[in-house]
Amino acid sequence: MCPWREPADDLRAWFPEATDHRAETRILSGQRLALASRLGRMPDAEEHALQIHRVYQGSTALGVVLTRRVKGECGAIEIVLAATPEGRVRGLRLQRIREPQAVREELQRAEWLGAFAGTELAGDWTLASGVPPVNPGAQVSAAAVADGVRSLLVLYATARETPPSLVRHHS
Amino acid sequence: MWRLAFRNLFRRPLRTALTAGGLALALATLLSLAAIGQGYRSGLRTELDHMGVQLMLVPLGCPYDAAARVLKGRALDTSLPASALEEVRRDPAVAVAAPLLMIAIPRLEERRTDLWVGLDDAALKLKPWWRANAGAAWFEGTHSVILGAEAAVAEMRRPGDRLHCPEADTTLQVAGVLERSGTADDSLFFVPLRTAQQMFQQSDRLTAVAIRLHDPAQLREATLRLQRIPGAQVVTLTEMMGTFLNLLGAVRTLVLAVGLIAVVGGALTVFNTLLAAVLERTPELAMMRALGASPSRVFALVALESLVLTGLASALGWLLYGLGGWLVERLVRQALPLAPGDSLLVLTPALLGQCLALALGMGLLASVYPAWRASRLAPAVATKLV
Repeated sequence: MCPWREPADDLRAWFPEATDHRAETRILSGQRLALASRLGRMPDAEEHALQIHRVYQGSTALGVVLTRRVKGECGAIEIVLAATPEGRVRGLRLQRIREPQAVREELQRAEWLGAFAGTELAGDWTLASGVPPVNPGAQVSAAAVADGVRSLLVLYATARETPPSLVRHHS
Repeated sequence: MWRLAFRNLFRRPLRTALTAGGLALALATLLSLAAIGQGYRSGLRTELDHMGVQLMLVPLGCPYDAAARVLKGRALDTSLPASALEEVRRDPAVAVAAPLLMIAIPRLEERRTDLWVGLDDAALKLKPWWRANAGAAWFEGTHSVILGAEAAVAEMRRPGDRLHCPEADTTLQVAGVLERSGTADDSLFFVPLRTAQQMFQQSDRLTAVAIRLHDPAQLREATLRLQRIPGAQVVTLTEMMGTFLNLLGAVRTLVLAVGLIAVVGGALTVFNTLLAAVLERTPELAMMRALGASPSRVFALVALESLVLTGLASALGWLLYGLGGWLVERLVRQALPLAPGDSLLVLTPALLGQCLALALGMGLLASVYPAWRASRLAPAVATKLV
């Protein structure tokens, strides 16, 4: 599972009022068919479980942070996604990216990453349509990031709808 | 007598549990440390045998540190000139000389290090186990890379994919992914030697030369000749293994001494528990004597209680080892040089038998005085106390 590498910095950026965060692991392998139907493809090995970092201010849930590793054109890209408890995107960061410099700069532009804020699972996830366009050289990796964000929202929505019978809490 | 021994022990369940628990903890620690020593020794031997290398030419400095770093796929701060390779290859005793260039790129924010290894086709002769799990087993051009199994998983790469090295601003094509070997190779990025030298601006530099001789009997003469190469030194793998095993031996003796002290401490609590039990049960033991139990029978009863107690503690210690041995391994692994990739915990039946024998022996020893005291009770005491 993809780790969350900079929780303190990310919380400061997305949930500055947060006082606590707790991780739980949801096993979703029982929802394979539902996941396949929502994703439009069979879920891959990493999509059978989801680690949800729930963020709190006192006892009030502020949102969640989700992480995922996706296949970029020239190496793995690690996504950190902040969302509201209902699953609306609050922020996106690429915590690890090995692409050539031009692609890295394109995908890490504040406007491109910022365009994901406020999006929901039901939105349009097509590159250059619902997702802002990027330079031609960055399209493969940009599409992978967009698919990764959508996949995280699908997993989170499925986890919310599934009774938490298989939950493992971490401090 | 067994029933009586069990009944006596469980008359004070808390005291028995605390005594057994303390002894079990000491035994679990001893068992873990002994198993780690065993695992380290066999793992190191397997890894070094696997390499098929008898000598290593490394830059001047601490030869064992240099050789250990090279074997574990870590970079060195110094390097050899490429001309050293030619000199090694000219030596008549040398069958294979495989040059290596290792570059470590730390990624602090990711808490990992990318390890790039440049090698030429001589390396294949030293790695007979080198097999591709997918794609080609060797480079398909100057800009191709072969990934260790773990590296391929971490980077989500398959043959035909591209892999970029941001530090060298170079994009390579994945030619193949190696089978999992359980060694440090699993997490490495292998590239042709010249490509590595260009990527990291190390033209004509090498980290080490791995050497196999035609005849291992020529080791001494070949070492003396190769030592003369300027700026280089030779380490034999046998020397290196000996050094690490000596180091391990010293650490192991110290750690086993600590473990043994803990077991002795546990035995003293057994002694204390038995003595207290004997004193508490003086009327009962005296009554046994009055009813015809011989001194040896009373002695045997107390000794049996001790054996049952230490036997239970041993079983509990084994359970604790099973549950928490990994934790001890994790702590010890950080301090060990050249720790093998496989689990260090290797518990053989012989080792288990030795630990069990030690525990039971300690238990028996701890029971001698209380048992002797119990057996010396005069039957007349019973009439006074009743």
